[in-house]
Amino acid sequence: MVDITIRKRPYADAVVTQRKFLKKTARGKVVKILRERYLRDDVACGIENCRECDGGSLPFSGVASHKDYPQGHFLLPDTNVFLHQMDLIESPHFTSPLIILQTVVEEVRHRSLPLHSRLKALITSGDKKIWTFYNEFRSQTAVVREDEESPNDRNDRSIRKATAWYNTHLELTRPVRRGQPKPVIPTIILMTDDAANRQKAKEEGIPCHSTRSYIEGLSNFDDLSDLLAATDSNDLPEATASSRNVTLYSDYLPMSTLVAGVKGGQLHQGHFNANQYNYLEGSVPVPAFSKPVLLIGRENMNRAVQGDVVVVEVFPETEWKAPTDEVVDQDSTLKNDDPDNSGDEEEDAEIDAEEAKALGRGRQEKTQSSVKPSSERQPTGRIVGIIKRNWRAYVCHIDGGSLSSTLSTSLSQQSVFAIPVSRLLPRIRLRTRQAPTLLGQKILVTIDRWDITSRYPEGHFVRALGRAESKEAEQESLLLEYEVPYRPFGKAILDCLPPEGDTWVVPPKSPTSLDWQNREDLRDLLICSIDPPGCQDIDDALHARMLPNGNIEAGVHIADVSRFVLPDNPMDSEAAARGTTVYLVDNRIDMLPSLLGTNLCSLRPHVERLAFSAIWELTPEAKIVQTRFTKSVIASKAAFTYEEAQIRKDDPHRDDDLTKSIRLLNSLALKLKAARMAAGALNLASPEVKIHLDSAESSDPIDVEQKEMRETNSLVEEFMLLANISVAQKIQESFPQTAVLRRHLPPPRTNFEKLQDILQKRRRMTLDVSSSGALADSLDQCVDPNEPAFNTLVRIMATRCMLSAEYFCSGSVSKDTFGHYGLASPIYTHFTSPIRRYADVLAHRQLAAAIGYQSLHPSLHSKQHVETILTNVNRRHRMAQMAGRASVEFYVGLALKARGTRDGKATEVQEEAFVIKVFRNGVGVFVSKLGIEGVVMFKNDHKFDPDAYTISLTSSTGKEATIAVFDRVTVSISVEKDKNTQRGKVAMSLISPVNTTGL
Amino acid sequence: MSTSKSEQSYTAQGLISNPPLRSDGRSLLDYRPICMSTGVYPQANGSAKVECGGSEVVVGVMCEIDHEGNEDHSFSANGRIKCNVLCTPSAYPAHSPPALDDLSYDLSVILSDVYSDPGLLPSNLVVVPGRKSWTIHIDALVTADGGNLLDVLFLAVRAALWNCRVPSTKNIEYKGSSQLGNESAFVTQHRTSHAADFEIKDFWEDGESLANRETFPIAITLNLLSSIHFLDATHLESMAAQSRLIFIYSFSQSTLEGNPTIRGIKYFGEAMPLKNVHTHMPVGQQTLLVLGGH
Repeated sequence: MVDITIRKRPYADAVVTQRKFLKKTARGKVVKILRERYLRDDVACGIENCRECDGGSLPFSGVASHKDYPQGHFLLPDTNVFLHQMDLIESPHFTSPLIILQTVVEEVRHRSLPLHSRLKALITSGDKKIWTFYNEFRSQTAVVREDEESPNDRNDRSIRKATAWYNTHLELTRPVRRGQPKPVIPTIILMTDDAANRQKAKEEGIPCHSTRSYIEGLSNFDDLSDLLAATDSNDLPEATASSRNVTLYSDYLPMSTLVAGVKGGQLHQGHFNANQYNYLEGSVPVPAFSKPVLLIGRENMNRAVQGDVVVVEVFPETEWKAPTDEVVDQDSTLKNDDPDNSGDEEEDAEIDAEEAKALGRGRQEKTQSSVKPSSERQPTGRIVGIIKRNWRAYVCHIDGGSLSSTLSTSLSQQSVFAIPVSRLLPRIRLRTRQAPTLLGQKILVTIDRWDITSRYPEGHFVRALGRAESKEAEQESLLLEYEVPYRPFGKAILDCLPPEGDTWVVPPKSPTSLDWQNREDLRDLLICSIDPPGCQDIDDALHARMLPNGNIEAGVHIADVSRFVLPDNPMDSEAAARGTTVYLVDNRIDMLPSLLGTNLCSLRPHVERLAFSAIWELTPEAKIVQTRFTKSVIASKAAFTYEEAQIRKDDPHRDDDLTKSIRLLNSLALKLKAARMAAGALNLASPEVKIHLDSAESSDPIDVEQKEMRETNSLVEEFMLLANISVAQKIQESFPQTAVLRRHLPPPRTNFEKLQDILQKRRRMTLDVSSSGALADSLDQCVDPNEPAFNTLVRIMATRCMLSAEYFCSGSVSKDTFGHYGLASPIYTHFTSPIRRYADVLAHRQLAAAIGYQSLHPSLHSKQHVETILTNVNRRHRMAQMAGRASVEFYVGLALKARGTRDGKATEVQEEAFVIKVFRNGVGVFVSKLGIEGVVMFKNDHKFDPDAYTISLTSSTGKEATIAVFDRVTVSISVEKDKNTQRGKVAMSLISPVNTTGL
Repeated sequence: MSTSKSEQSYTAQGLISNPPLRSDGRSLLDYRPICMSTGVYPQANGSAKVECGGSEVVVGVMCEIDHEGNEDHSFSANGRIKCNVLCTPSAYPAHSPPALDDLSYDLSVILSDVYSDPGLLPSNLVVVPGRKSWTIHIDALVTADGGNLLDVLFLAVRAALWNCRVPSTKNIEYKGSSQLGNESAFVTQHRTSHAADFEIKDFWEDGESLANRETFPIAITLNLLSSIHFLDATHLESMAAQSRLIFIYSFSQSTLEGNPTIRGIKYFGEAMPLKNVHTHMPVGQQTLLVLGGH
């Protein structure tokens, strides 16, 4: 019999093995948490061929790349290094072998989740020589907190102890042997930027360095020095900005005070939104007020950056203000600021004056004529603290004007301004040696800190993306700006695909085949797919046929993605993280590996594919008699484009079964649509344009045109809506707590106020927003017989007043808010595009469980899990839309440029546009033909009537004209390269009714 | 546990004989050896286990934040102590579940009566003045009853409270713009505001002891049999006793020395003329009984 030994822990050991701590829960309770740890003597050090420890991946003798350690070394960084210098560590130039302590990993996780996931990715990627040492579990390195020791001190001590242990461990395992040369023992270097910690380490005889002094000793210092983040560390050369003792901002309140203030209702918490038209203004939507809290001026915005979670203090009501109606561009106001500027009071004063002027303008007149603005005034306040920074790497250009030396040979370090592509972000000051080479490139910059004495945040250079306006650089910069994960799929993910790869086929039908179990054989049905031209990921197909009883059977067949994407494997997690496929003009960032998207799960014609089918029995009036769902095997008979399907349907000579079924589908779709419209569905519009690419190789856009809508588009849409609604009902019935649904909340009435007012004043039209049906009707009334595009414009503007649709977990919100406002459906989900949307994959799994095909993965029973996934999918979805739009915008710019120079010489592009917004010193216009929006700015002051939404201009020839919202104007559009930033900017000027060039 | 009449009379005879005879050889005022250990439940804020003879009581003390406007509107700004005693079936194999519940309830009431005295409330239970305070939950578990249970129970509760550490908290408040030294308009507006919430000062530290842990009471049960009284009765002896008189003493703040004060007196058993009680009282406290008795 095998001996069983039970080693009981002696009572006295409890001090070492038990970790207890108190925790305050979110609900304000205090709990005492007790953790038991088991200390062992066999936690491996991770160095190859160690006499004592098994396994290990670090080189036996370290690396000798540091000049102070010719006998080799390993690097052991402390927590702050990972918190502040992650870009440095991640750099491919940084090759030192790293020992990462468990203490450090845990501390990083407590301090910053995003950095923790970057650290985890770094450890698992295998690109670097990294060993994670579980120091808290090795008896020699486990540390018990001493009395009166702060957690920080304890962790520092634990890190020092581990470093010391490593050094002794190496000595002990490589003893001197007689007759053999003395073994070379590499050093373990503690890297910390905390001077006190270094002092203590020195006293204990532990070799240590600050990050800067360490990399200065490396042979490739020049490659790394730019990546060094600016920290408060005192061995950094005196930061130029902070040497000036002028305090520009007030200090933040301590976190606990902020929390208390927010709880007590004196302070308000929310996300900071910068104003893209005016860099000196921002707002924070908070639950306590119906309008967002307005922040005016640098001091009140107090160093907040777009997306930060901030706490604001609201001023008394007498100091509330209205947002400005002026465009204030930081490029022009701050053009004279010098990044190296240290204490030049005069220049500072100049900027202050300039900014004060920009702020004061427009507002002054407001107070004079401030009889009515009480309605326009909104809560005004200032930021007193930041709960969470949302800083990431931003795509920027170097401001050429800020360079002190443009000689490309100059390698001296200089301070320059980086101007982020996004108008919502402030300029970032950074120090670099490569400034001249980076000029004209798109680069990635991270913000490190923002001191109260510095007008701008300090950052550091991460990497260059390539020449500005080159397609590759712009493409990547778009993906980065909208945080789209675009790395190729890793091996672990690709391993989840069927091993047959391309050659995978549906196995032959047999009772023993797993794939055929509980699957219906629908291979004989006349199924076809209708998609846009060039579509590769065909995820839906349709069929319809007459039934003997006079009713019609219609079916929607969706690619059975959940057959391949199994819950909780690496591919599933990656898809959940990506959330959606992102479509750019000439590129597609897939959510799933393309083997699935464009082959195995693409319902191509003439091949057998696995599908998930929704099949209805409908009366000829399109009333549902019966609905059923089944997993199936189908073989599509044809893949049409919308145009082909349309032609085939309309061709009177065609009378084959496939054509008949398309006609049948179409007749049903028309009735379905009519019913939907009667129920109050909205016909919304958003500007959609199509980019014509010249040829595959050059992919230079040659022209832009608006997308065409055909009857068959609507045919497919109707059936997809029907499928989504039916599935939503089914999964909600089966899983009332965790069903994955999609809703569109009715917009608050106040959102429409401005549009209603404009329509009333300018066109004497009323917009009834009491319900979606009423809105649909009144939108239909907004017609100007002379302006066919006017109705579309109003629809676009109305759409912008609405909230966006979102995924949600059915158990998380009350049942009466399930409705989809735009579709006027009481319940809705996404089921029909599992290849490109992750929510659909979840809906597939839930539906499969609802029909008893397979059991539901436990994670989909957890409300919290579903909520977390859907929050991410919602965000990704939003980002993907914005990235797509930005991509179109970029190509429209390129196309305009191409059009402008088509005949060899520069010509202006003139287009008709509608005025959609009037500012004090400009007008916002929408060019429907190109789907772009722009601002025409005037240099001089003009007569501006904010109540009537008009501005009166006098041209240089003395002609006077009044421009109002909804007026049709002609603008000249050119792509102008911003001289300083190399940013391609769409510049517009009015041609008619007044030529405003030079105005 | 049932005992026969003859057993009871045999035991009683031994006790009243001169010199008194007890089955374990003790004199009338001797206790059986008391074994006490504290901190037996690291999860609790305070805990203790006390064994005396065959009786064993385990007590856990938990501190919980109570806030203004709680569910049952029982918030007390100075904190409170809640007691609960549970008798396990293993301690009383012969009792039916309802009888066990009754017994648990009776013991809870005795304990609660004593600890509801505001004089015993530690002064450091206030977290956020007027808004949040600690509630001390005392949970006692009777795992064996070998007689003299009340004494053991009170002893165990006192030991657990002695062992208890209340997490140290720090109040946080928003004082308004004065902290930033900005426009004067706001200073006055916010100055009157109070602390709204608290945070834990040091999440690795257990916290501080209860402020007046010296005062927490113990109980001494006098078992009365004709004209004599004896302490720490075994189960059999308590059956033989005619009645029981329980004195609950608490101690002065500063030291354990000096005169303990009586917190309460309970009497169980046959009716007894009051003058007879006096004969059992320790000298010097007879007046107290008249003044402070329940």
